[in-house]
Amino acid sequence: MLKNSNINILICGVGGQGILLASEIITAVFVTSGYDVKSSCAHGMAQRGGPVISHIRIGKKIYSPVISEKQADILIGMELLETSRALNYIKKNGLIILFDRRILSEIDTTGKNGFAGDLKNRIKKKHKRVLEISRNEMANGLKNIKAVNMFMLGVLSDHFPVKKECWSRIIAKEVPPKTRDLNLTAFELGRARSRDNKNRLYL
Amino acid sequence: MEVALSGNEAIARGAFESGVLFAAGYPGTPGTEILEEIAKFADIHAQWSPNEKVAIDTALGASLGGMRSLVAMKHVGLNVASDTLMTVSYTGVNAGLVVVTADDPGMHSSQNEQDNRNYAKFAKIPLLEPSDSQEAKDSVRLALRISEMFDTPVLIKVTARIAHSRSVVEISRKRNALSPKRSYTRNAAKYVMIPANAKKRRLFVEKRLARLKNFTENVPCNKIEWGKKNIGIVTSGISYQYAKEACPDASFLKLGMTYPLPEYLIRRFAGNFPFLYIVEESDPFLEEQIRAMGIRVKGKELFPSVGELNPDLVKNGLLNKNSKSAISDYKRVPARLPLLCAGCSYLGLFYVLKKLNVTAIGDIGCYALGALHPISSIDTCISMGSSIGIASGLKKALKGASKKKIVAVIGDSTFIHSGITPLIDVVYNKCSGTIIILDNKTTAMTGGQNHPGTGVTLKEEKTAKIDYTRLAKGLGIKRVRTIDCYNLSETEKILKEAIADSRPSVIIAKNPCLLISKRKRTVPLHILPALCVSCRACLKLGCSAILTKGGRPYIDTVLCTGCFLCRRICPAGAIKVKRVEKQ
Repeated sequence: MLKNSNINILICGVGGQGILLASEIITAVFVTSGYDVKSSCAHGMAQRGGPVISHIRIGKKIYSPVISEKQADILIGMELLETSRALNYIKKNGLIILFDRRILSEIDTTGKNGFAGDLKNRIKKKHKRVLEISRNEMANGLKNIKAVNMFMLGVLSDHFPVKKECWSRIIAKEVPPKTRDLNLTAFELGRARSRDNKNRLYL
Repeated sequence: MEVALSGNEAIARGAFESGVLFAAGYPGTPGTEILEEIAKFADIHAQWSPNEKVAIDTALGASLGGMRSLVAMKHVGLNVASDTLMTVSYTGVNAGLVVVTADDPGMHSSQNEQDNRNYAKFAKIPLLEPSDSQEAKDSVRLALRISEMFDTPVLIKVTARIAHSRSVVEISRKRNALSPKRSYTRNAAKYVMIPANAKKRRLFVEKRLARLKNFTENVPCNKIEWGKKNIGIVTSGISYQYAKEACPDASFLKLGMTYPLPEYLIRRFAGNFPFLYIVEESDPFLEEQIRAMGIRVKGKELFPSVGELNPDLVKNGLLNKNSKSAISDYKRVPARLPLLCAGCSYLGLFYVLKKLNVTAIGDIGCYALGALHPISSIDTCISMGSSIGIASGLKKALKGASKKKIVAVIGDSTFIHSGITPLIDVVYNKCSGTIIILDNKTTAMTGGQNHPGTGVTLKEEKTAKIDYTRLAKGLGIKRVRTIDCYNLSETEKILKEAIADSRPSVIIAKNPCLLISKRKRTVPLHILPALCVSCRACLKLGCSAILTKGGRPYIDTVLCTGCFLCRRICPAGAIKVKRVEKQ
């Protein structure tokens, strides 16, 4: 499928979740594998807790670095509110890899914030193909929630005909040396997590 | 070798490969990484300047001295550098001089979305508009060639979508040497712009523009891509990619050099169609010029001039549909606004300013976020260094009319950029204002760049450090004090005294930015539910580590830095250090 048509991947979440690094790794993996790749990240004030959305487009010849409406094949949602915001990008039969986490941002002196439950149900109601990764699942295997970006990459990687070694090599090169082992373990766990999943896309 | 580079990295790579030896700039999203990446090449002299005007002046000097030079800044930075730019157009250069402007349509992190292509027309200098990373790299080489061939500075315009997008770039290890060698020679008629000389150079500018018009007709980056002969699209920059995506079968005139325009090429292309579509982001820059050639065009009536374009907006425009994008219009999901970091020292300062009921005139930097709920403490944020002038003007206008006292709040990097001159004005014109310099020892909002107040250069070398106290005293400010914003009572006392003083005063907040200080995390705090009276005083601090559940505040221990600000303002004494049980 990848040979004939483009693949569009969207990653969304909040500044500090490692979205930029994850999309740099995906970009490098597919450039190394001989594809045309364009990625675009909107991260103006992300260091101050703003939203981050990264578009990655892979194919034979890519023009726009941003994905059009309803054209994303895979949406990696690292945060529930930001995933809700990005739902208009996903294809009708696209796959959402959803990390069940709500990062609150509004300082709400009226006390009306926090609606994680509603958000998750809303996403699932609107969309059939959701692969949900719970916070416990991450915490049990990893003991470090910071490597969630690499866990999600692991899940994603299983959907493409690219060798695992290619992913591992580029991850090892791109992450800080001190965190290499942690990141590679997270990637492996994510890849294993995708194995027994009926929502698997064969791209 | 093929690698994926961002537009900013590609420009830096282009500078390296085409023999740039000097680069300067001032940090500003979306262009900050250009200088940061250039600095990684050991033999390019790269430096942060105090502001963009100084950056372009030093780059011009380096060009006169025979070094190929590049200067990079965000769009509003070019306003600061424009004074020199307008006249360098007259003098021309010695070795090549390239000016890169990184525009921010959509205002991801800017105060306006001015289209800097207008500067090329205004200054009568050539303009290049790359549409991906490969073209961004190539544009540096072409710009240097044009600069040296035509004796002119050259403007390269990228936008946030070019600067921050990654795409495949062919890189080489070879470098272009400067040839022939251009040594420095005195040439007063060319570089001393007294009226007698400037009048002659003014004529040179017109002749140069005429020669550039010939050049642009044949430059390879201006090219026709024939497709179906029923739709003809003229486009440039990122808009080319969107249009190609939206309508791949159409015929395209893709313009990589957009000032001056290739009139004959445009006419030849236009001859095939009843009218041309002009697809461009921001201003109708191409559209107005092409319409003035007497060619029928459709442009801004179909494609919005506000914000960024995208493939959907271009497609809707070509189909003449209502060009409202559902994506940008997704309103049901609540917005996520940027915030001051949990435990930021500015939270303490704003708390005191609010308590003292002063009017705070803000500036460009993180502290502008103090305008947002619940801090709501900043009244204006306009341009670099403008807080001090606005505060003193406002003070004169409101004399006696308002009981509220006025203070200016300005960051260290912003103060150095454009705050020193207005501080002189405060002394000279006998103003009685209080100016608070937030010395967090970095350019925080753009990601933590060094500046003349940090004592470290772009190349990580040690250098002299500005002493704000001695600077302010040297300018004639009598009352200069430093404060620790975590010490609320002391901060309040010092500010009160300063505001009451009839002479101008400078207060220096000395706490470093949490993101650079790498201070060891102290023990987080927590709110004891038994003692909490739900008065919500702590929430008014605006700290992003304090959240609510069921109307009651609690502290997110992952985000809490243990700064104790909330503990100091809690009237019930319900906030305590969280004891970590030893395992």
